[in-house]
Amino acid sequence: MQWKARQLSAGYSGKVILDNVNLDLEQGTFHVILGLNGAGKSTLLRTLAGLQPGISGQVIAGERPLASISLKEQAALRSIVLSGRQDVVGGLLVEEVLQMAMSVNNNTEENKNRIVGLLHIEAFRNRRLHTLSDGEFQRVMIARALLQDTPFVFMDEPTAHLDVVARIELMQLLQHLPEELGVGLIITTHEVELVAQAAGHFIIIDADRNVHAGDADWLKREHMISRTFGGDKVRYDEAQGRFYTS
Amino acid sequence: MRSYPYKISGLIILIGILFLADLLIGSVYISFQNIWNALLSGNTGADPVSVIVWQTRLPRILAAVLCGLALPLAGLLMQTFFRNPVAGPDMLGITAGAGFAVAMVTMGLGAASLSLVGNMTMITAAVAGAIAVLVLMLLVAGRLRDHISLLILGLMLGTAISAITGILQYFSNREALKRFIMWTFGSLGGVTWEQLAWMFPFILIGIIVAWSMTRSLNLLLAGETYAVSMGLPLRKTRWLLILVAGLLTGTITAFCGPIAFIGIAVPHVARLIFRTTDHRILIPGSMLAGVCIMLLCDMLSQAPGFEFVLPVNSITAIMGAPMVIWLLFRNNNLRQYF
Repeated sequence: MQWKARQLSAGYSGKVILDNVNLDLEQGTFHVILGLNGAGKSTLLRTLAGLQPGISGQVIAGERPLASISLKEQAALRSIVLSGRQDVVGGLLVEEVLQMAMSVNNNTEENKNRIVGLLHIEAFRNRRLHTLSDGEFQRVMIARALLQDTPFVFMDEPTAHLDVVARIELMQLLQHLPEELGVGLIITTHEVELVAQAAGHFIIIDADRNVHAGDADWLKREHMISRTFGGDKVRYDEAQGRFYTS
Repeated sequence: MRSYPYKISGLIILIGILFLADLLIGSVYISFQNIWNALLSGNTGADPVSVIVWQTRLPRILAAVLCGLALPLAGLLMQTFFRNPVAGPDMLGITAGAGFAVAMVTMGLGAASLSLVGNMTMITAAVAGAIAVLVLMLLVAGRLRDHISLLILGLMLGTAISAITGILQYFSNREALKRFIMWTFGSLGGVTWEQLAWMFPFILIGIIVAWSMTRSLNLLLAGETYAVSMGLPLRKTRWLLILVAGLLTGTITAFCGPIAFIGIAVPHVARLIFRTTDHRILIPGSMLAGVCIMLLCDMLSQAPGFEFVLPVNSITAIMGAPMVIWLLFRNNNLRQYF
C-alpha cells in the first residue's frame, strides 16, 4: 500500500507551518525527513502519522483519507516511535511492552522472536524499562512498533539522546529494516552525515519551509544537503559526506 | 511474577479471617459459637443474638466490604489515567457534590423542619448531588484537550462547591450543623439491607466496566501518545473513567458518607504487594487489599472495649496517611509506577 500527502497543510491550532505538501511514501522504503531545527520535521511526521490533525488537505492511507479511519484501525496501519523515554512508565516489563503491541494485529510468537533477535533485545526481555540504558530502551520501543505489524512505521528522532555508538548502530539497523521487513519506514533525524549515504527516499524541508522530495541520486545531483544545511559558518563536503566549519 | 496466585489467595483468606473477626466486635460481647449459630440459622430475628448479627453487624460489615471494593478501584483508575500518585476518587468533585446536596437538605431547606429530614432524604440528596457533578464532568470532558485540565476542573469544581457548603454551614443553626457534620464523619453502621441491595448493582456495574477497561489502562502506561498509536480510544476511555469512578464514589458517598483516603492509599498498597503495573493484577489486588483495610478500619472504629463508636472517616484517614508516608520511605522508587 501507499501512504500519501495531498495538498497537506500542517501546523498547530490554525497556524500553518508547512503548506501544500505532496508526498508518496512506499512500503519497503527508508524515508528520511531532514531539515534544520524548527523547520517542521516533527510536525510533518506527526501529521503524516495522524498524531495531529492536518489544517487542510489530506493524508491518504492506501485509498482512504486517514482522518476517516478510526484510531483502532489506524493502529493496524501505522506504528510510531518517539525520541527518548517520553512518559512511558518505568516499572513496565519489556515483555509487557511487547505484548501491548502484539495484540493490535494478533502477531505471532514466531514473529516476536524474529524481531526480538533483529533488535538484539533477547537479554533483557524480563527486565523493567527503568533498568535499561537509553539505547536499550529505544530498541525495545522500536521492537514494539514493529510487533504492531503495520505496513508503515513513523519514527520521530529515534536516535536522539543516544551515545555515538548507539546512534550509529541504530541508524544502520533502521536503514535495513524496510528491505528486511517490507515496511515503509519514515524517520526524522538530525544525523545528516549518517543517513546521507543511505539508499532511500529523502524529504527535505528548506529554510523557507518548502518541502522537496527525491531519491539518493537526486539528493546528490541537486546538492540538497549543501543547500539546506550549508552556510557562512558550516560547509558540507559532498565527496567526504561530512560537515566542516568554513 | 508467578507469586500472584499465592498473594491473591492469601488476601482472600485474610478477608475471611477479618470478616469473622469483625463479626465478633461490637458494643456487646457475643461468643463466636453463638455468632456462628446465628449465621447458620439465617435471619430469623428470633433472639437478640440473631438480631444483632443479622441487623447490625452483617450489614455494617458488608458496607465495609463494598467500600473496600469500590473506593480503591476508583482510586486506581484515577491514578493511572491522570498519571498522578495522589489522584483519588474525590478529585472529580463528586464527593463535594454529594456533600453540598446533603448540606442543602440538612441546613439549607431543612433548617426549620429538621425532623422531616430522614436518612432516606439525605441519601437521595447525596445521590442527586453526586449525579449532578458526574453529568457536568461528563459533558465538559469531551471539550477539554488534555486530561490535566480535567483534573484541575474537578479540583476547582470540588473546591468551589465545598466553599458554598461552607457558607451554608456558617449560617446554619447548631442542630442542623451537627446533623451535617455527623454525615461528613461517614458511617457504615447506618446502612440497611435494603440500602445494600441498592448499592450492590451499581458497584457491580462499576467493577465490570472497570475490568473491561484493563487493556486501555495498561496501554496508558506507555504514555498517551504511544497508547493512542496502539489504538487507545482516548475520549471514550476518559468518558468511561469518569463514569466508573463517579458511579463507585457516588454510590459509597451517598450511603456511607465521605470515606477518606482509602481510594488514594490502597492502590499503592496493592502495587507494593504485587510489584506490578499490570491492571489485570492491580484491579483485583486493589479491591482485595481494600476489603482487608476497610474491615480493619471498621473494627477499629468499633473501638473494641469502649462504649462509643469512632467515625469511620477519621479512622480511614488516620490509617491511610501513615500508610502512604510509610510507602514513600520504603518504596523510594515510586516513580517507576508513574
